[in-house]
Amino acid sequence: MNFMVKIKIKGHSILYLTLWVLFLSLTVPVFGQEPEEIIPPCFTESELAKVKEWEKTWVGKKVNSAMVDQVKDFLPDTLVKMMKEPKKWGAKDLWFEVVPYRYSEPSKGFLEATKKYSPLSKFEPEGFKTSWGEVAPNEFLAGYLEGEIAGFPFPKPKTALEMVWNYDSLTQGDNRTLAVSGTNVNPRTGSVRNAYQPQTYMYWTGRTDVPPLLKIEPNKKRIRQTLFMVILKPADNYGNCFLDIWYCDPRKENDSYSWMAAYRRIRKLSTSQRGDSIDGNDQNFSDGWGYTDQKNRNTYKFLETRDMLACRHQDPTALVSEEKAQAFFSGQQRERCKLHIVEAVNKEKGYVYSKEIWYLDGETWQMPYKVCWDRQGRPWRFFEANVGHSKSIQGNPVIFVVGYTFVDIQRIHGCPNCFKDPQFGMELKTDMFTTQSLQRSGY
Amino acid sequence: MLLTLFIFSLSGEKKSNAAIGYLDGRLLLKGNFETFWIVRTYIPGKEREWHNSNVGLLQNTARFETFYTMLQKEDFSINLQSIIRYYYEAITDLDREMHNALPAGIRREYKTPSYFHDDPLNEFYFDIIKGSWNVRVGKQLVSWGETALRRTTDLVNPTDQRYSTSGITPFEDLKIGLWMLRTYYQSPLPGNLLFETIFVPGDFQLLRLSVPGTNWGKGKIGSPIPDNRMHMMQSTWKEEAPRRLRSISNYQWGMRVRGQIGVVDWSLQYLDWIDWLPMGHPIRANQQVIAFMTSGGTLDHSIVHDPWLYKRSKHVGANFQWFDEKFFRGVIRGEVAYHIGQHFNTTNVEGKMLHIPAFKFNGTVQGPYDLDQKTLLTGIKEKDVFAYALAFDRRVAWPWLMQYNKGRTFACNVQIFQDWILKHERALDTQRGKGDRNSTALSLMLQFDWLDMTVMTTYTGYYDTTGTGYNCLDLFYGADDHWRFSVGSMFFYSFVSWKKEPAQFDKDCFYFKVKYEW
Repeated sequence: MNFMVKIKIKGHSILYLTLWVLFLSLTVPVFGQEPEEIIPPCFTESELAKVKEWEKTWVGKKVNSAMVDQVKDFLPDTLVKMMKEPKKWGAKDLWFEVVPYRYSEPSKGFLEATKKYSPLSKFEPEGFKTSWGEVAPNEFLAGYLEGEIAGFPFPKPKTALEMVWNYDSLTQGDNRTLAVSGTNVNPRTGSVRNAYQPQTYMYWTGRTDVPPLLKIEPNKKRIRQTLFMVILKPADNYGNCFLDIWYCDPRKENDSYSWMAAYRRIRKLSTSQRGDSIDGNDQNFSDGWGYTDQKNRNTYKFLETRDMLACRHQDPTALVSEEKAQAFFSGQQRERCKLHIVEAVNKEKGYVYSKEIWYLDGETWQMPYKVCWDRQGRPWRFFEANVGHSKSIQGNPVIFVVGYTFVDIQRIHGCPNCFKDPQFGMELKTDMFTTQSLQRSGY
Repeated sequence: MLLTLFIFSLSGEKKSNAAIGYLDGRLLLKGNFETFWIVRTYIPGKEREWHNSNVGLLQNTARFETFYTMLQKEDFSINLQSIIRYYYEAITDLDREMHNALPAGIRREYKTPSYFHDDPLNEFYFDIIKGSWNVRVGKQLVSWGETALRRTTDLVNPTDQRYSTSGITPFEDLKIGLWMLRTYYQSPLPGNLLFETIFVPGDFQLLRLSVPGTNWGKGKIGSPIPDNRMHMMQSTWKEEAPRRLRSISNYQWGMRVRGQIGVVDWSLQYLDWIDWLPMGHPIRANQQVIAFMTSGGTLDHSIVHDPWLYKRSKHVGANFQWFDEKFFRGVIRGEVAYHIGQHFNTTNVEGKMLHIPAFKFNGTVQGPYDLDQKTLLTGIKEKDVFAYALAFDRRVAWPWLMQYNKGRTFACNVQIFQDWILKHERALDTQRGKGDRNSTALSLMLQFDWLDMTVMTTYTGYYDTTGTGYNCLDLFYGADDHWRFSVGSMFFYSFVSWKKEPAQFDKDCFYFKVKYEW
């Protein structure tokens, strides 16, 4: 082989080698690492390893009043205090079960919507005034008013406000029906009042699973969500129906109508007093499912992210009240996860809570816990949502609150509620959410 | 009552709601038992001899509701709804003096529902729904108004005021059901327009006023003549009232359209109605009254043909309600009514000499008479009446109170009612102030709830600018799923002497209610 041929061969080899190295540098990351999750899990790999190690000791254990101190760092202080005083809450013992952590993923439609719309998520640069206060610039989610956004807008949030908008976004199957079976318990007197209310919800915007996707049209009123509810218990309210309409526009108060069977009338209800508690319960009109009001009614401050125990895959049949006048469930299935703790302060002067502390799950963006402070700065109400999973009629997974409890810490009173016969993803007609529907459902 | 106990004894399905379900939940039963006592604080001297105690009313009621789904198929369904209410008023049996104050027939009608097909069956109708149409056939209550305590546009069903009054009991519990055909149509037109019609083929019901000798009535039957006249009038009204279903001319009908403009829910309505109370024929009614006087106040039937005339009138009305977010931060409701040709008797206000022709009574010819009493009727006139009512409902945050009551606000309701008789004449016989073409009334209701709504206190104040009114304070307790207790007081007042005579002024009372819901 002459010298020139040797150089040529050597040159080609260098070229091939260079190309090969380049190829490897581009492809090895693909083959060597997991693709990035649309909704990142709450634990990194190293953190997960530590959690698994911890779980070896704790999974399967029933943590009761005597043991709760051993896991107190993973629970809100209020809950720990309650569990240490079960008799005060009408129970011989309060307990929960530690279950292993599992990643929580919403439906495929919701994931796709998150993937599609979250890169475009931003806030409106201009603020505006409302009857309850001001929505500052960069507080209101762009596209929300028009119903042009769906999925989690900020799967990797950086601020408390972004976390709260995530919380607002989960549409839980778009359409759902369930029955709230609740009790209003005074453990000191032993009195128990029962309630039973079939409810039907429909999201008009942010739809991801049930056609029409994204939004229902026409929607001139820019409705965000509607609820139709019938009261079947207590007896003297039997046959009363309620229609609630939430709007996308924070400048518009919710509309609320009732059909009062005793009066045979459709009554428009005042929705101005959001802080008023509902019918003897320990929650007010904003507290439903954690928080159902306009998100911009509060200012938010991120406090910390903590490893905590919370319900994320709760089996609803496991929630029990072992005593007749027990104001708080036992039987929660809590798994270790990361919760983002956010302080919320209502902008309305004189609001019934001076502040709220929300615990938000970074995967489900549900609110497993909330603590509310009264105007005198004392802890007043504690809320727990038992988050679980279900399946829609299309077979999609649905992240869903299977039960919740509101507790008045000061007056020792509680309202444990669970949801019966939930169904998700059915077709619903918009004319169900009209005042005529109220009239038809009553006498 | 026996039927209720029988139902109780059946095993039924597991109750997840307040009704007992059978036939796979297609038949739902519920009801309640209630005892209602009224104890008067004071019985005036002229009445005292007709009472052994201060208990004015002791009414026990059983209410039985059924809801039966006969058919449910996609958007077509047929349901049957019925409410039976049976009551027994016991004080007219327990208090022998009160017992003797009432003639046997009156007492029987007062103690229990008069006719089985009438009073006990308060509602009974088939509810047929198909798509946008909804038809209800049967005995029904209709509520077309927005306000409480006084009715401006809610004029379909008359009320039974013999046992209670609107300050204590809501109108829907006082209303008398009517057999009617009622249709709804939800149109696709803008504003969600809902069209409604009602047609009552012939079921006419009198307004049932308080019975003389009973708690809310004047005096006693057989007492001085002026008190007994009401009994005579009520008895003869019933004789002359249009007979149910026997005459097509007794029909009544109405229509209503309801919709939404912006934030306002509104409705417009039209009624073609037979007045609940009759007019007196200017000659024959006077003859009836003279015969009553001649009988020493004992006459209780008509001695002339048709002394009372049942007149038809027309009414156009509107209702509205909206939630005012900006200024009032509460709900504003209103009713507006224009009564076309409402009938009024005229009286002999100038004291002129009136000629009453002769008539037969007790086999003899009475009269003729020439009399100048001012209470004599001289004619019937038609006048248009304009009326409105406004109600303001707001939940009020009182920080001091909320601090001790779990942040609960209290409900505040203020109402104003006014009406004007257009082209008024002094001679018109009205219940308002003498010669007044306008009547005005105000009401205030405050409702607080305590202890997680197990206790509710309600204050209702009502004032009529003729100088009368009442204050009613109610305390309600309901701690569990079944038992309900109410204790209340009602105190009447009057600033004018001529209003102190009518029935209600001396009816101050305490009342008690115990109810069991099932």
